[in-house]
Amino acid sequence: MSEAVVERKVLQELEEDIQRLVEIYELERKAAFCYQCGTCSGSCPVFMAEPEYNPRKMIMSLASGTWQSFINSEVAWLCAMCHTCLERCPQRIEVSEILTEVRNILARRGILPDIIAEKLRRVMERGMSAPYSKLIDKRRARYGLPPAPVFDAEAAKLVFDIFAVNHVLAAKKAREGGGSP
Amino acid sequence: MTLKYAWFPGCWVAYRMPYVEKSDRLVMERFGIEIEEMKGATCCPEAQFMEAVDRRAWLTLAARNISIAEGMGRDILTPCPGCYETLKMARGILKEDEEMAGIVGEALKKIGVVYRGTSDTTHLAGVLYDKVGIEAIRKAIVRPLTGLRVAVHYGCHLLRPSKYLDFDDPTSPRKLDELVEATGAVSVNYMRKTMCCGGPAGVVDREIGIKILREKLYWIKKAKVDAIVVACPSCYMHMDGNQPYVEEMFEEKYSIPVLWYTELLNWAMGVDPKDLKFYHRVRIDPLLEKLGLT
Ligand code: SF4
Ligand code: SF4
Repeated sequence: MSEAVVERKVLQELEEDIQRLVEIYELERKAAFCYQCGTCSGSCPVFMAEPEYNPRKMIMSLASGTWQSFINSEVAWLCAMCHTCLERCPQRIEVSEILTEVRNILARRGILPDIIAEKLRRVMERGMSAPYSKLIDKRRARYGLPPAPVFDAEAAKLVFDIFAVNHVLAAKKAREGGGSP
Repeated sequence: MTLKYAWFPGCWVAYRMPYVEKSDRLVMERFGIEIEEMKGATCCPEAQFMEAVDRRAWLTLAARNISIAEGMGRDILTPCPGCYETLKMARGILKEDEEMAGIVGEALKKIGVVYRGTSDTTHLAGVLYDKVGIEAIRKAIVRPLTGLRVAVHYGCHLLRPSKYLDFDDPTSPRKLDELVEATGAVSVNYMRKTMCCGGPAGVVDREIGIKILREKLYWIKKAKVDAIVVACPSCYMHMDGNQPYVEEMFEEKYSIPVLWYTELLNWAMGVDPKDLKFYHRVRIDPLLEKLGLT
């Protein structure tokens, strides 16, 4: 996992974003009911393999303003989105949904792994997330299949423009190439 | 009753796994499921990068895809649980979350798309179980796979989050097991059956993906099965393709063949395994020999 060095300015921006998230999800109130039972972490396949990724701690740290620990790296991106935590939390805290919102926040500040950025780029270029192959129709013909569907990259780009998804890639580039503040 | 759907193969099946599409199409033909391609779709888009980066763009693109099926007057059928999850969730979220529906509606207006939310999305396994029915499938079996013991792996995106998905019971699903058992095979229970295979985590951090897979394989091996059966392209690739790396990292032996669920159905319905031309990293010849299918 590559360490993301987050500048102080970005940390301040993140602070505001996260505060908003905490309010929207009423996390302070909800986290007050969190048993700290660890059902979320105990069910989490990623936690099993990498204890640094700990949903129970992440939820608590969001509510208590100590989230800097896991936001200082790309660790939040390890979530497999299996939603087991969401299914099983006895207090009905929307663990995986909240952690997905956290990644939305991180992405806007350019904190995301290369492969995720790569998939965004593929969607802009070809309208799809799988790597394109020029030979695909030949290969499909060997299976007696019609030509592969052509995905509408233009439509994807328009939607990306509306929500400034491009900015995510620019922010990542600036952060990684930008050097120290 | 004819079953007609708008076909959304998804990019991984269409571009990387033509054998999956071939196998699924054979089964659809066999049971009179008619499909028509959706023209001008985009990536579903995959939640792991799109929902995680921008939920609004994720929902807008999904709604746009659904609107194409609406124009065809059909529900969507997909072989991919990832596409199933995204399209099904998007419709659910847009129905219940007014604020989000407003944001997405504005964006759709800008690109000239009318979304009504009238087309539902189903995974092929769901249509086979709920619409075709186990009885009809059993009747189509000409070569029962008696004696075959398999571990059914559901993967995540057919089942969770269950507040939006309705494929099966999220804690003790049965549909895929029953589809597999219709072939005469036995679905063996095992620990961590509904756990993630580690594929998505492996996309971001390979080592973590391998470690999660090892946990799955460890319990599957204990159940003494001949094969693993999956219904998800991503699980297929990870569980089959990365098994050798689990063996290397943990110095353990697994070599458990990974089969696509309609591959198994096709075998039992008399299709020659060679004609399906599946790519398998873990060799399936010993298994075919055992079943007398070589
Ligand atoms: S499962 Fe729910 S209640 Fe238990 S630690 Fe996790 S968030 Fe808290
Ligand atoms: S959704 Fe993410 S955080 Fe929740 S259990 Fe799955 S991998 Fe862990």
